[in-house]
Amino acid sequence: MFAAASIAILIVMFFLLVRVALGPTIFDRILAINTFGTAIVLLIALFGFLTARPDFLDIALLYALINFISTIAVLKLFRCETLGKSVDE
Amino acid sequence: MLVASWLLLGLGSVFCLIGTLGLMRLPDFYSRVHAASIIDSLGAILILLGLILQTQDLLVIAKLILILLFMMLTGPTAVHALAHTALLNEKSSSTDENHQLPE
Amino acid sequence: MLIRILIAASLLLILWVLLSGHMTVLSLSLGAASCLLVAWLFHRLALPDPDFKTLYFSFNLPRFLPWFFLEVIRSNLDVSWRILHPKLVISPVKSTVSTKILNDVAKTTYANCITLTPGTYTLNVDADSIEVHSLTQGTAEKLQKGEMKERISALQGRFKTP
Repeated sequence: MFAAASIAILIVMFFLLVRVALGPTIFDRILAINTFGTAIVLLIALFGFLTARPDFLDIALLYALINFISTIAVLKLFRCETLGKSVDE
Repeated sequence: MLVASWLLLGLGSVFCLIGTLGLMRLPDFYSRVHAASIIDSLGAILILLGLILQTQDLLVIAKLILILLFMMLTGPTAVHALAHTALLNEKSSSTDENHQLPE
Repeated sequence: MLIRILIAASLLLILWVLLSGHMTVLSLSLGAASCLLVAWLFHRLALPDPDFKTLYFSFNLPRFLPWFFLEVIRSNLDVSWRILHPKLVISPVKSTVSTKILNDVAKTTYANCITLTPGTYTLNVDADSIEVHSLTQGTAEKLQKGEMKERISALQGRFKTP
């Protein structure tokens, strides 16, 4: 059953990549990448159970955090055109 | 217990697939966000709950609950930041020609 | 100031033990050092002071969660049905919800809950209103009726601020 769920997540990831390739706007791509991160977290957790090594959950936890920060960083770069200053400046 | 876990995993996968279908089918960006939030909310919740039922180890359960908590807190924030930036961009690009979306 | 750093560091240390699962002296001392460093860094970030209002709200939150979980499932089924429908019955609409009766932490929770339920998400948060994008006319009307807002404002207890 873990294998079936992993395959479903892999299909989801494939179509998310299709959406990244199709666009059409840059926000569609960022949305798909953000959701791709969620799918990766689920896939890592499922893979940990599939191979009976729950240590993988630490990586999933880390990825969940980094995924959020990367999305926010890309959006801030888009809006401020630099990462170094705050939005108000 | 195991049957319930399999059911949750299967349902979660189905909801993830439905969300992806929506991401492909829906016509514009603002609608596609709704489809992506299916994967972010119920897809993730059901799969992680299914995994929680698979194990007796308290540390593993704690980690899964932490993952769920982080995702439920950060997911909406990221989606809001994305939609807000898209809205601002739409407003500024209608007045300012230099801020067109890169194709 | 020192008290706040120590409280934050001890909470982080609990998280450290929970995540590592080891109780050796080496692991615990390394953990304590990094927790103190992180707590000090976050002190420098000058976050707003925690107040009793926020604490009261957080302890009340579990009363709201079961209803909210059912609401998430309900809206997920609704949006899924609309996606699977061959004709794609959607009517995207933007609307504005007033949040005058909510204090800051309640407002944040409300905006997050709106985004977490598929079918609605927040586009813009102002001082006393939230702009929401809904997938259908029906969900926008349901939001205007404000059952979720009522339930969240009930959690504020006596800390109702204008």
